[in-house]
Amino acid sequence: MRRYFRILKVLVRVSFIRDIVFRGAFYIDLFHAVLWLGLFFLVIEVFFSHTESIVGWTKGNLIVLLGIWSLLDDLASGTFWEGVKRIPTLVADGNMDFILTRPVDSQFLIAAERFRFSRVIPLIADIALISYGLSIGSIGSLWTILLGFPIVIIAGYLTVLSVFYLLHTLGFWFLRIDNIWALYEGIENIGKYPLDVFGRHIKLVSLTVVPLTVMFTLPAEALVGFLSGAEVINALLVSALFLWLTRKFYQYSVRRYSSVA
Amino acid sequence: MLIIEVKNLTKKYEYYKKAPGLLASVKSLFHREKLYTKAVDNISFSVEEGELVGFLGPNGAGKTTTLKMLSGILYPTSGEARVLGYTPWERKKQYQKQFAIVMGQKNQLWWDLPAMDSFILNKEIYEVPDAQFKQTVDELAELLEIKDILDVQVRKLSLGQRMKCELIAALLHQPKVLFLDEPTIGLDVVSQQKMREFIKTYNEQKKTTILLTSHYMEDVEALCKRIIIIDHGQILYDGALADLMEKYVDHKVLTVTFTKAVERGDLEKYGEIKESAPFRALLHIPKTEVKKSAAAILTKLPVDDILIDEVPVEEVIRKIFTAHR
Repeated sequence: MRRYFRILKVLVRVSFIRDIVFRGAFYIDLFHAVLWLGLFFLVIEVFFSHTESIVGWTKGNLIVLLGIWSLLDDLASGTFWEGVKRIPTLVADGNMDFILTRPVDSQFLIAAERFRFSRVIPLIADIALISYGLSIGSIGSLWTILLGFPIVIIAGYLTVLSVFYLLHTLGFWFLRIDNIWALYEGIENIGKYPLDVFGRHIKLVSLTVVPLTVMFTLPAEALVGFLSGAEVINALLVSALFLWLTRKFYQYSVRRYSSVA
Repeated sequence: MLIIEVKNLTKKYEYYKKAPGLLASVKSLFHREKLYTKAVDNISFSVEEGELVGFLGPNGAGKTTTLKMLSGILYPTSGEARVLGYTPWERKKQYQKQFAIVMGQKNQLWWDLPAMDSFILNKEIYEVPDAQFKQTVDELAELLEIKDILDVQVRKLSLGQRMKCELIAALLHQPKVLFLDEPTIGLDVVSQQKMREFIKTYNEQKKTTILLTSHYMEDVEALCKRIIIIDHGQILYDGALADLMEKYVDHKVLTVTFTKAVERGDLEKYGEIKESAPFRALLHIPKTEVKKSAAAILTKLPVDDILIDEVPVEEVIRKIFTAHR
C-alpha cells in the first residue's frame, strides 16, 4: 500500500509540473468550468422566478444538488478522468504494452496517470455554491451530515469512477471509441436535475442500470435532509457492486488486448 | 540454467474481412466474415542464463508477437512458456520486477517531461532503493554518453538520445531478462554502433539474458552467437550463427580487379561468375577450391587487386526465407 502512495505522490507531482508547463490549457480549463457553472446557476434563477419548488425540491435544494453534481464532476475530472479517458487510444495505438508489463496494478496506473490542478478553483466554487444553497434552503440534521453524507459522497465518487471506467473499458472491444466520454457526459448531465422530474422509468434506471441517484442525488439529499437509512445502505451496495463489476470487466477485457505491431 | 522455456507456443489472431467499396462497407454493418491468422505457430525453444539470442525474421514473421507473449502482454492461443520460472501472461508482480522490454517503435517515457521524471516513476514502481537508483542512472548515462540530456524534455531529444533514455528506464531495476524489439530501428549509423556496443557490454557485465529482434544484420552479427530464424510463425533455424554459415554456405566471394581487360571466358573455369566487366569480376568459388583458384588467378591473369570475402549473413538468411516460401 505504501508503494502505491509513493507512486501516487510521483504522479501528482508530475501532473502539477505538466499543468504549469501548459499554462494556456490550465487557464482555458478553469474558464470553461466556471462559465458552465455560472450558466447553469442562471438557468435555476430563471426556473424559480416562476415557481416555488420543482417536484418537492426548492431553489436552495436544487442549488445544493447542482453544487454536488459539479463537485463530483470536478473531482472526477481532476483525478481519474484524463487517465481513464486514454484507454481506447492506448488500446488502439498499442501503448497498453508498457502499462501491462509493469509490476503495479494496471487499472490503478491508468486512472492515476494525470491529475488536473485547474479543478481546484472550481471545486472551491462548488463548495461555496453548496453552502449558499444550504443557507437559503433546508438543511439536514447534524448526524445525517456528519455520518450519512461522507458515506454517500464517497459511494457517489466511487460509482462515478466505476461507470466512467466501465464505459471506457469498451475500448478493448470496439476500436476507435475515443469519444465515449461524450456518452458519459450525456448520462451524467441528467444527474444535475431531481430525477423525479423524468418520471418513473428514468427514476428506475437511475437506481439500477445507471446509478445516477447514488452518484449525485443521495449526497445532495444527505445535506438537505431527505436521506433515509435505507438509501445509505443502497448507496454502499450499489457502489460496491459497480466497483466489483468494473474490476471484473476490466480483467476480462484485458485478455482481448492484441497490441499493435 | 534455463531462463526461458517455450513449448509449442501458438498465437492466433482473429480479424474481419474488409472488402473495398461502399456497398461492401454497408454490408459489413450486418455481416462480417471472421478470419484467423497464425502469427506464431507451434514454436519451441529455450534460452540459457546470460545468453544473447537474436530473433530474426521478415515483417510479420512472429518475432514481436513471441516477445509480447514472453513479456505477458499477450495471451497465447495454446502452448506453454516459462520465463524465470513464471508463466508470463499470469502477470505476477514478482516476474514483472525481473524483466524489461524495450520497443524501438514505442515510447514509454513522458514526451513532455525530462526523462529523469519517467525514471523517478519507474524507481517507485520497481521499488529501486535511492542509492541503487542514483548509481544505476549515473553508470548507464555515463556508458551511453547522455549525462547532459537527462533534464531535457523527451520531445526535444533526437531519436538516438530518446532510445538511450528508453534503455535506462528499462534497466533501472536491473532486470534478469531483457527483451529488445528492434532497438536500433531508425537510428543513424553512429547511434546504431553505440547502441550495439552498449548492449554487448551490458550483457557481458551483468549476465542479463537478452532476446533481441532486429532487421539489421549488423546488430545480429555484432551481438548474437546464437540466432533463431522465424518466418510465418515457424522456426526455420535455431543454432549458432557460425553453424548457420557452415550449413548453408558452400562458397566464398572473390572480387578481382585487373590492370588489363580480361575476357569473361578466361574466368569461367575458376568459379561461377556473378558480375563481369573488362577490368573487374565477382566470382563465387567453392570453399574447398578458394585457395587454389585464387593462386591460379594471381599467376595467370593481370591482377591489380584481389579480395576474398565470406557470403554476407543477410544473403544467407534471404536465401532461407526464399526457400521456405
